Amino acid sequence: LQNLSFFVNIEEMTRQNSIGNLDLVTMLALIRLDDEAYGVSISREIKQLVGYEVALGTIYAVLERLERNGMASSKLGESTPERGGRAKRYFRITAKGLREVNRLRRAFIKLWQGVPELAGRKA
Amino acid sequence: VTHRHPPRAAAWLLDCFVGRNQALIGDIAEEYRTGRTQLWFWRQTVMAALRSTFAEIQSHWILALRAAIFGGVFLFCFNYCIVRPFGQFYTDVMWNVDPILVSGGWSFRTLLFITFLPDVPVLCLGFAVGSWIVARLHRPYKAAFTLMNAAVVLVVGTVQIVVGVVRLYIYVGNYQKRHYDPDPHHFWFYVIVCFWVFELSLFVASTLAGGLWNRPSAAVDSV
Repeated sequence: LQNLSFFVNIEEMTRQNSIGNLDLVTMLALIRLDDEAYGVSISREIKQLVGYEVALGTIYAVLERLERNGMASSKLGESTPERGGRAKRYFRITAKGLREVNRLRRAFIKLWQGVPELAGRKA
Repeated sequence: VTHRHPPRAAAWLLDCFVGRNQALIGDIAEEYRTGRTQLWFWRQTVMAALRSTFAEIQSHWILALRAAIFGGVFLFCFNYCIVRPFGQFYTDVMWNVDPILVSGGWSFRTLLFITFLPDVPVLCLGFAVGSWIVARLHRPYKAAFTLMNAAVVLVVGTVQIVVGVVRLYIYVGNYQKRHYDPDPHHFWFYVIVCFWVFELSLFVASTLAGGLWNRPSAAVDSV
């Protein structure tokens, strides 16, 4: 029952803010990359963070959703020959996004503290 | 295999579906040139196309609904005004040319000249024209709505095939009982089911071809 309430809390938390797991991972990648966050670098950072590759189209869908919700902003950068002359689109996390990440971090820590298995003790 | 040039068909599809997001196409091109395989490029293309389609349908669902309804109504009218009269005319002509072919039993000739030839090419034309009109009426979202209409054709067609298979199975079973045919797996049962699947793939292809017709291809070479 305790485990069930854990998932209910997470679901409630993510629903209120429209943030899924990938959204959170992407926002963390934006924070880590700072000024160098564009599609390719975000994709590589996510692979490093979670261990599997996410399609670039999926990452853009998340970034555009975050931008719509005011949690990220973007600006066009330089174009290079290996990109077929297309400009890079750099993303940054906004103050609102940063607040959401912090709020989620605090909530997760609080939830994990209530799970004995994760503290190395027997239930 | 060279990494300088991505698969042309995939690059063309990418341009069709995410042409407005040049940064994404640039990212895929940049990553591809680091030594990624053609399969990787295809996977990125399919994912980007699906994501873009879902996003556009979600944000313009009323227009998407209108596009789907228009496509359905057009096909309904096309079927009653053109396919059926043409099929009847064709059957009349064939009756005069070869009555045995029209009234005879199952054969590959009957399947080709009576079942396939009058209806399927005309219906393909209907799917292509309907999809083309829908795309012209919804230019900013033409790729997404074309894919949506092709998916609708695929789903409706699959349901029709499943219903048809059940009915055909019952019919073949009754036929075998009447004719004391001991073979429970009637050869024509499989031929007709394969024909239906082939027919449906032609309809889906026609819908895609009609909607994606005349897309700008200038960007393809530079991916």
